[in-house]
Amino acid sequence: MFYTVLIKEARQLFSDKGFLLIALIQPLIFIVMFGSSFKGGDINHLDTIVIDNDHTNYSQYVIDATYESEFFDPINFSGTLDDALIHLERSEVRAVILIPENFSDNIDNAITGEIEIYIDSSNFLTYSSLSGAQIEIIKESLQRIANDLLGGLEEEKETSKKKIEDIKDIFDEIETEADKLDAELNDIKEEFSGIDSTAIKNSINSLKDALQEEKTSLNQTQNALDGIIFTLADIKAFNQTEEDRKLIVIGQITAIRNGINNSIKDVDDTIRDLDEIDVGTVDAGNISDRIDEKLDSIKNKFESVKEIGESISLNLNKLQKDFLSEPIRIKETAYHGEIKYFDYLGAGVLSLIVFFVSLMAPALNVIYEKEQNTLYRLSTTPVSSIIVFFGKFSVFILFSFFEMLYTLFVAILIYDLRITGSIYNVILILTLLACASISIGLFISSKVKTMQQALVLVPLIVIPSFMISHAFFPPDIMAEFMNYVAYATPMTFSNHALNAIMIKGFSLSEVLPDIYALLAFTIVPLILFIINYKRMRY
Amino acid sequence: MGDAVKVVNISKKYKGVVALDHVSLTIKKNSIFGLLGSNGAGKSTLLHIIIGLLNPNEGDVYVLDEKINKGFSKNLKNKVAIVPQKLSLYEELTIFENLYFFAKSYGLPRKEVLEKIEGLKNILRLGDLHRKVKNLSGGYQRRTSLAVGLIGSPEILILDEATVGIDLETKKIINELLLSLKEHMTVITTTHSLEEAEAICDYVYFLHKGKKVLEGTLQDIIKKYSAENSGDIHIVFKDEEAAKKIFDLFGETKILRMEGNKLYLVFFSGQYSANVLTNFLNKIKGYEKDIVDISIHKPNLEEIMLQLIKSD
Ligand SMILES: Nc1ncnc2c1ncn2[C@@H]1O[C@H](COP(=O)(O)OP(=O)(O)OP(=O)(O)O)[C@@H](O)[C@H]1O
Ligand SMILES: [Mg+2]
Repeated sequence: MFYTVLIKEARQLFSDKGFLLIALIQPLIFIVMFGSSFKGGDINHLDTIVIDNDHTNYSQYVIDATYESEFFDPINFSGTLDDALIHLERSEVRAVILIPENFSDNIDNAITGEIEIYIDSSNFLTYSSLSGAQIEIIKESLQRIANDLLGGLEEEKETSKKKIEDIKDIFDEIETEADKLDAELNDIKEEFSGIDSTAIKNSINSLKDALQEEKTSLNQTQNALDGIIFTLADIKAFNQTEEDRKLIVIGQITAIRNGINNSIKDVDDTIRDLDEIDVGTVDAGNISDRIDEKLDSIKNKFESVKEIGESISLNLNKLQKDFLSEPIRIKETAYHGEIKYFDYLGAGVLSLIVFFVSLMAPALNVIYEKEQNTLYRLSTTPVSSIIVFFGKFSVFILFSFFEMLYTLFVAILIYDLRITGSIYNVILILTLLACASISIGLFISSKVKTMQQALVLVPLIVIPSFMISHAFFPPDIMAEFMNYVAYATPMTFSNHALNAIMIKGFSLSEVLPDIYALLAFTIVPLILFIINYKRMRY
Repeated sequence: MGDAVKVVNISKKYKGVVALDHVSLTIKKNSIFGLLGSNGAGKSTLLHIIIGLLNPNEGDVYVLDEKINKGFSKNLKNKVAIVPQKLSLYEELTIFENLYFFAKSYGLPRKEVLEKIEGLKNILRLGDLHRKVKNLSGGYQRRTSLAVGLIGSPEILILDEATVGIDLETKKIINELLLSLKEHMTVITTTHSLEEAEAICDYVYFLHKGKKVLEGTLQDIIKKYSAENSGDIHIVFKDEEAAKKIFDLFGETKILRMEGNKLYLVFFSGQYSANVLTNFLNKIKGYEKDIVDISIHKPNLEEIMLQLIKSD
């Protein structure tokens, strides 16, 4: 018996050819709709306008970074920010990036270069995708700008190293001078026992020792400079501008600067020491003058060392500042304000509920009447098909209207649905969608023969409609042809209008095309239904 | 002037099935026209074509002298009503609501509608009008459907097995009603019940497998077939033995048949029949006491039709 029941059920199920056909194409349509609704799987390659008011290498770096980013697809555009924002407002582009006039000047002057990015926040998905992606722009362009900055640093290092070499040379000279002075003092000591050369000799010796020390520390400084370059190479190699690496560089620069500053101080002390040496007055052969002269020349050499040292320190100062400041910053503006995911989905969900209910109810009603034969019987009475249509239509409008109000208020009361524009306009759009859905539902009912067929056909229309109507998947990521297919469902237009009203706060006059489309979706199926109804035969 | 319905040479095919095969007929005004035929003969199909719910594949249909072209005109919809074979009522609504709705669809004013509903309620014994149709018994559902057919006071009323499942008493009332309405109305009715056709039909049309087999007034048909064909004399004997005795007197013959304690003597019209009858009467002389009953059976419509179908 079980077998018999099985066969009977199968026979019954498979006897409805229309149902089978729909059931057969349904998975195909679903998969194509799903697959083509998200091309790449990720939400990226979003149209972006880049306005460069700076026109420098640095701004070009930012533009390049935008082009290379997989999130932004810069489009050809020439115009002002205001022009660009009009496109953004209509969601024709998802972001506008503005590089201001003084961008590179600021960076060069160790002031943060600020880029402005306006992101269309009427679409939660593209918004959150781009909002995260701007980091990528900063990273990429900073890399290049940092390269330039680092190039400067490298140059600086080379000159510093050379200056240190110069200092070392001078130190060598001083040493020779000091040696000479030492020798001379020995001679003098022999010739004139009256002169106390020991004190001078001691200070010269301690000077020489100090020089030796200084040279060692200069060598260290040179090594430290090489070390910076090494760190910088690291930064480049690992493609990162991480905070800790920055800190290392800054630490190194600071160490070098301190080293040089110390050296300068030492040099200062030495100069003071030299000043304090009392050569005394030994007239024979102007000895004291000669010694003074020598000391003066040593002193002068120290002065120039000090000068060089200060210049190194100064440049390192600037470098450190470059590194310390945040070279680039992006100021993000959510163009339609912050948005919650539910706010974004709200339009689609409302449309879906209205579409589904308003489509299903009249379709099932008419098919039920067909199955009950009452429609045929009614068609033998003189009542006009127009009246039959409007009778049904009016009741379903009323039904859908209250259903819609109810849904809307639940969404607002419980989930705090954001409605920036007028709620009356939201109601109007949803009512128009209900009209269109009822018309389509009636039209379907005049084409479909059995309840079973209707029950597979309605989801076949509603679910893909939801998927392609831009309520869920942004149009940006849908296959091109799918965006044309999307015009086949009124939900696309209602979603567009609802999004504009609820999120962007648009007025009705700004969504007129959507309204016209919804009206067309009401009138065309309505006419087809009436024609079909008149032709309806057993 | 004119006929109620004129059907000229229409054919209707469904996938693989020829439901109607070149059917022509004329229905006179103010008559009750019986469309007869076994299941699947094409009766419903023909009626749906007449009322414009179905388009024939070929042929023309005229209703009240108006040619039917893709459905009825509003004028005809006002004048022709059908009580379909399938229930065709709003089952979620009450009897009253159904009647009221259909009455309104004929554009009748409320007062008139209420009067009519009251009238039909009484004639058809609809009982409590505020019961939902889906909860009614089958017979009451049919009565309601019939009431809906009558509510617009049509000039032509098409009944597709309208009285199936209705009890005999009500059926009788309905038949009387139809007969009384004949003055203003043409009734086209299909039925398997030949008895019923015999009771009310002025004219019958017999379809078999989409083709006309027979048509004419009831009297003509019966006269014709009883003249052309045969009648039976049924002789009932007190027991089988007695019947056998008489049967054996005749030997092998086609005109006499025995079934249990009954003998059936077929007689034909004309001279031959007279000979057979006298011969038979002579032979049973002396056996009168063995005979319980003798009756003469003239063919009724049913038998004529069964015969016609068999000969097909
Ligand atoms: N919609 C249809 N599709 C296919 N075949 C059909 C359809 N409607 C009727 N038929 C076939 O047409 C033939 C005539 O059907 P119809 O309903 O007219 O018969 P009927 O005389 O009314 O029978 P009944 O006395 O059982 O009501 C039948 O063979 C039937 O199977
Ligand atoms: Mg039938």
